[in-house]
Amino acid sequence: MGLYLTPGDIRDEGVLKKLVRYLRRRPSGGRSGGDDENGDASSSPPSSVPSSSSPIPPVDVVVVTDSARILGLGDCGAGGMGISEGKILLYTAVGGVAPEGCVPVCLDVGTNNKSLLADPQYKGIKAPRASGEVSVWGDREREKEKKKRRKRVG
Amino acid sequence: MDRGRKKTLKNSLFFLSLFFSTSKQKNKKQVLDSLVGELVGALKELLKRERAASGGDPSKQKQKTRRTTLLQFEDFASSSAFRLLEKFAPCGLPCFNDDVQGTASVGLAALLAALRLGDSSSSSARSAIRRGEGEEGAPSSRPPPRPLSSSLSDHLVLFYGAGEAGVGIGELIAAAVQKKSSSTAKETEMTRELARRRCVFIDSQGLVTAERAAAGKLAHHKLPFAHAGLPKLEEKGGSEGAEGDRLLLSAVRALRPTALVGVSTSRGAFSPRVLREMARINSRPIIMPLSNPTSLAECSFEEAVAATRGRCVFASGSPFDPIDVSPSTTTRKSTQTSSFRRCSQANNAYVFPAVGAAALLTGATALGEGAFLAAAEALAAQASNEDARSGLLFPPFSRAAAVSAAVAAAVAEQLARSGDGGVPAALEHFARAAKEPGLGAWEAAARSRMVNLASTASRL
Repeated sequence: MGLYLTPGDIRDEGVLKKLVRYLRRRPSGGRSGGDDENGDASSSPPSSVPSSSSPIPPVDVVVVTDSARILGLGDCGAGGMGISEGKILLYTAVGGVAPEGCVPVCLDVGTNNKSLLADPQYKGIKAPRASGEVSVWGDREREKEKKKRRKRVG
Repeated sequence: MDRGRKKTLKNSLFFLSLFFSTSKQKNKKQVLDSLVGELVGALKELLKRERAASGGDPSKQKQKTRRTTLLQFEDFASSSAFRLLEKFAPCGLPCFNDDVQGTASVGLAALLAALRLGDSSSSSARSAIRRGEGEEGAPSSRPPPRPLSSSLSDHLVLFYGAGEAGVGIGELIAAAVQKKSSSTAKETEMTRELARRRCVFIDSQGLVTAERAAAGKLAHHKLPFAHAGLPKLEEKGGSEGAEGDRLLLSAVRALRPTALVGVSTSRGAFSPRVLREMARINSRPIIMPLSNPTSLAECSFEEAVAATRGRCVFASGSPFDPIDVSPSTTTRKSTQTSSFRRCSQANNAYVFPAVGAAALLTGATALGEGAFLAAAEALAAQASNEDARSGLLFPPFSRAAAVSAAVAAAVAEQLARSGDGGVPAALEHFARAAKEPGLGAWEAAARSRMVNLASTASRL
């Protein structure tokens, strides 16, 4: 599974925190420091990145996409994780880079795909994609949906 | 109750701060760039912490090359792709865009591999030409087909489509032409401008020319290839459906290119008429429909082979099934005589994992044009002679890991030479011990790092 980043992560080293949490939480295949389980945002104070507690597994390769121009599919909104994951697999299968050091990343910065914007099942930010403006509204909408989902589950 | 109220308060504070932060970002108009910038910053921060943590460890200090993190941009819209690349190329981490640089590298590799067919196949090609000329009844005024030259600077590449990907391939071809000419020192000094003239582009409006650039009608990225002194093409006309075909056909007739590269995503652009014309001009026309996916390729493998009577040197961006090229006159009883011709696919996966492995091996801080040029040259040499003779420009993908090691070695050597990367400690080890007979020290070092070749290489 890869790492999703949204415009909300631009503030307060949000990307760094997410990345560290991601690296600590996933199985690290024998590399150092993979068994730290208290990486959840709600349980740890958000201001401090746990830097001293345990070593963070090293990152070798990052493949990042914003899914704006996927081959034969066009704008996929936040749906390009498969692209990053596929390319990351090739780094291991062909380039011989150990999989523990590989991180697929998908940026969710809205979409111009009208059918995705209209799709109630779409999980990404429902705002027009622009290299610049991504409205707060999208984040709010996403948060609302998350809450709904949580309610349904819980 | 209490907790719930706290939560709503927290949430509203969160949105308020988000609103202010993003409205600030809005002023910069660059949310995407900031997000990528944060990612780069986070990766650099992790590297910094790692170095600080291993600072006291003497066993790790022995390593000469620093550990690095490779960043690959994938499937960005082309407008942001070039901006991000320009912005983050000097960030200190090796980063590249596979759609631009990887595609350019594998495209050049296909062309360089095609040049290997230059000499060996000339006799059979010549006989094929004689047959072809007789059957088609070409007028005697037409000059005979040119043999395939094995020197890159003899070639003229006609690009159909002038998007960023195509221009990227053109630029790397120009770099290769320039490098070749300066190494052989035949000419005094070939400028990049002169080298670029080996590539001519056609876009939806016709030839990309200096006249159109002067009229201010060309996109920024096409300007380096807006040549002066290109011949005027025939007036457009005729039936609506054949117009695209007509433009390309008249360009092929006027320019007499040796290679045709398709980066237009328009199916059927390389019509049988165009392909036949290419075969009339060249004994071994190089046909490369690089558009993806298969449904948008400019022509299919079968169409190219049929229209050129099997003379074309073919590489495509999308995979095509092998085709039966056994001569129809012979009986097809025995399976040995029925021959299949396989399609060479110019797949980026030959290039980017190897470039990445090389960047990690040398602890590179940047990936420049030279790295992708070195990758293309190394990859072009990888098809076996038998493969090359049967028209295959790339080794089979089943050998991809071994090919990758060789390509990574070449790229790593280039990175170390250019100063973008360092010489790994493993290299000295392999140079001294010569543990792998038949392998260069760089390739042995590259293999020692690759988890998928660990069984065949001695791990350090």
